[in-house]
Amino acid sequence: MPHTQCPMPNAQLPMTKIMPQFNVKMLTFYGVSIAFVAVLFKIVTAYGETNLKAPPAIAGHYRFEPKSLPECLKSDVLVLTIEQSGVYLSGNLRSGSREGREKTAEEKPSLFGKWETQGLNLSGAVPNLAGCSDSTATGQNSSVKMRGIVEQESLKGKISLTDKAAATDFTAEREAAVQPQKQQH
Amino acid sequence: MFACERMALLVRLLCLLPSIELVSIFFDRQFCRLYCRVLSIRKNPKAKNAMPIPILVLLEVLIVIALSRLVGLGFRSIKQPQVIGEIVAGIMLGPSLLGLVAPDLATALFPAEAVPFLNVLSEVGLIFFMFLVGLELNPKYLKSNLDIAILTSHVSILVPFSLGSLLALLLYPIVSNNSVSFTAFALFLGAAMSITAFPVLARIITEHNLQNTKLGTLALTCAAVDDVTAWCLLAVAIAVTRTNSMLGALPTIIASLIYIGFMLTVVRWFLQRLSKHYNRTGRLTQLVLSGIYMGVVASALITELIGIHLIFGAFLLGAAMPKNAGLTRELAEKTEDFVLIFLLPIFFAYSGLRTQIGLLNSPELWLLCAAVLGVAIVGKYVGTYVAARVCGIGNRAASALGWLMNTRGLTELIVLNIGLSLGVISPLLFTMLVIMALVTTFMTSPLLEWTYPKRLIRLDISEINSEDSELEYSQMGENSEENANKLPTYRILVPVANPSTQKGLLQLAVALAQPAAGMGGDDLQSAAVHPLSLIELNDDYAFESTPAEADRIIQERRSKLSELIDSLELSEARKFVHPIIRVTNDVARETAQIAQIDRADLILVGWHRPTFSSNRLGGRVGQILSNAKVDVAIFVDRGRERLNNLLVPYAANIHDDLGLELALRLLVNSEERRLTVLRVAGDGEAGNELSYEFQRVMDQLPVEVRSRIETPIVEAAEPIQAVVAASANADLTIAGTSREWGIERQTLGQYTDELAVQCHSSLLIARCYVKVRSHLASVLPQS
Repeated sequence: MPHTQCPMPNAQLPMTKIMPQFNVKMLTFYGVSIAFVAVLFKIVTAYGETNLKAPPAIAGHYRFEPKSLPECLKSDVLVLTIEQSGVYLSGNLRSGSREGREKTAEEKPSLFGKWETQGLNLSGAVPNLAGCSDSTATGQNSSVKMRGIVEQESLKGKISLTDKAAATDFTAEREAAVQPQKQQH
Repeated sequence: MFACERMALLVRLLCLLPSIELVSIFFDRQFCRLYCRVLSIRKNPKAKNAMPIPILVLLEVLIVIALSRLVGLGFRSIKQPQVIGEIVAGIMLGPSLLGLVAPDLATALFPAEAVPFLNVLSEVGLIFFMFLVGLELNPKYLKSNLDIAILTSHVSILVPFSLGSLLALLLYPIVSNNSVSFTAFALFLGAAMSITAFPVLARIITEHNLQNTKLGTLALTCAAVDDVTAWCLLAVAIAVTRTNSMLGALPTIIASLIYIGFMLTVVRWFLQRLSKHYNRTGRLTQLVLSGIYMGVVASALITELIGIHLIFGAFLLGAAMPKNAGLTRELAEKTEDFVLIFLLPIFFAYSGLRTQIGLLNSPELWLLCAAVLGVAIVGKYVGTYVAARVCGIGNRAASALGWLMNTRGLTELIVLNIGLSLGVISPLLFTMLVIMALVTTFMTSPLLEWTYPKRLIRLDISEINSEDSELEYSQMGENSEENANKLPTYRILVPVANPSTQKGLLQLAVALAQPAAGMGGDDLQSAAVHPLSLIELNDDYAFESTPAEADRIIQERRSKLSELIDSLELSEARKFVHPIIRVTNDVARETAQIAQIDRADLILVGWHRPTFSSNRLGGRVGQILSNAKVDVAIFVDRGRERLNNLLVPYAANIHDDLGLELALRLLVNSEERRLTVLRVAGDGEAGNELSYEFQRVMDQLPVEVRSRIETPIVEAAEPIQAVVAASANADLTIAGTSREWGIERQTLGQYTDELAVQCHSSLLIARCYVKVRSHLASVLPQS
């Protein structure tokens, strides 16, 4: 073991040595470190609070106005569930009542997208909608693309069922959360 | 129904219960029915045959416990903490694996309706686990060089905390949202980066037998200081998150400090009375235990009311408990089994359900994950290393300390779950941090081994415990030629499972090692017998695996071994008997490693009947035979006091040659001994010739020794029966693991131990591994 300036720890030391004994070099190093980190944290948080903007919190359940929806989506009570991790969004489109949805399992997200300056972009399959999943000859799930903006509790935008189909306007209202995302212990 | 049967098969595969094959046929229909009922919840929650939620939760718990044990054991077998395996098992049950490969099964088994029940169970488990962590936090760990430990530990928090705050500048706009203030986000991320898991670290230290080394004691002190500091930091982070400002958190922080003061004064005074009561009664009654458990829950509720978190109250009560050895042990033992086996895996499963590795679905996100991992590792390592170096710790020890302090494990998982519940970290960041926690814990053991190999750990142990001369030659340094000459020339490692029944084994080892007067081996240093007592810790998180408790068990075992050594008749022999006591989780592998590191010439192991096999050389002995890269001899003791008449059945193979060499050692070491080298010839065949090597050795032996050797040839159709008959006149029969004597090297088949059963004398079975090693060199006169 190389030469040490401080005594090395020894399991045989008596309990009377429990009080720490700092030397000047260590105290200086300790003090400078703490001061540096405190100042750094102050600067970083000041900069972050002033200059950094995180995307709005949009996670939740959005109930669609069924009349405005195209083709197979029209006949259902349709709810878009959005899970949010910052700008990264995922979710799925599901039908059925809220009670029924809450009793069943969390679905694997089938829609993925991002929050961009103008609003959200989501696209992917809709495996849970029976009419839509049978809509093609191959039996594959239809894909959905949607773009929208969130205005208070409303999500407004355009939705298209396949790549070629024309986009249709939609409006969806956010359902009041039973369990808020922030769990209050 | 066919689909149901397939899914039922999947359920069974998932459970992977060891006995599943036996019951699978019987339970096929039941599983099928069970799965269909589970599935029916998903399809129609109000269906009449839908499984009631309590039954579903019990089914979930069953699967969780089985899988967590299985994966935990798998991780133990690759020398990783079991807890990491259990965390991985939880992740496997979540959307990251089960949800990916069998989404229907995953959603059927873990419907949203049942998850809150898992949450409640996991919270209860967490509260009592934190109580155990606090209980384990013994001021004994703070006894060594607290100044170095405080400085190192705090700098090892400050550096990753600072880097975490800087990383927050990058991550906040990407993975957070505007309902979380930047300050709370940065504080939480910094805290998550700074964590060191004291409980996991303590187990790693115990497993590496570092608890009494300089490095181990320093690491334990650092981790204990780190633990307390990190919980305080986390409490501040939670308070700030809940109020979204530093100023707003001030009342919570003040209330917390007052409560800590109350716990460490008033409550501690009361608990000391309880400790005295325990000393009087000597047992923990159910009434007292219920009082303590009520205290745990009440304290948890108070800290929740204050505005930090439930876990702090439980931890505080555990930390405030007086560290009365008996009380602590009984309390921990009564509490830990249910918490660690039943409740904690549920917490891991609950965390696993929230971990979605699938969210990392682009190279850009994996890069961010790598950045999180890099900052965590570099921050902790550099912080610890620099601080330790400033304190004058050596380069290698500082580096090892840096890797040790990177252990985040379970503590990190607790912190992350709190962060996710509070919404301060998003599911994506949660997943990245879970990966970071797993990787940093996973890498600790191999990096520690790389930085601080076992050879150096043992040097450290021998420096601290100089009167324990188990490896006194290690102190001399291994590269010095001069010192190498002082090393014992012949070393025998004797694994001793139960010191009270192994006197015969140790006596044989001493007889084999005993220097021969007048034969060039009269220097006591020329031989060493190491009784090896390995303490197997089966459960990673059990209280007995804590360094302090492991130390107590080691001392207990040491005194038993000392009694055994003192009971040896030859007082001179005690001088070269040096016990080795170690903690391990794999006795056979550790025995083989110690034999290799110590350059043992022979492992002498006692025979025992394995529990689950009729093969006498199976079980632990079989494992040692498979693992050891040195010669092994297995002793079947028939309780003969004397070892004067030796019999060696000889069939001219390397194992018999080893047996012969061992017999010659015994012969040379005592003038009273006689040796019969028995060769067996089939009807009308010539007997086995003695090998050239044997003839050469015989030529080297003094006439007086040669005169005590007989080499008869007997004719017999069954060689074993001839040996059995000859053994009636012997005190010890020494046989190689050869087919002729019914004993094969890897002990295959039921005939292998025929000799062991029928032999009239004690039996020594020799298995040769190293063909070039001579067991006679140290007892023969140098020509």
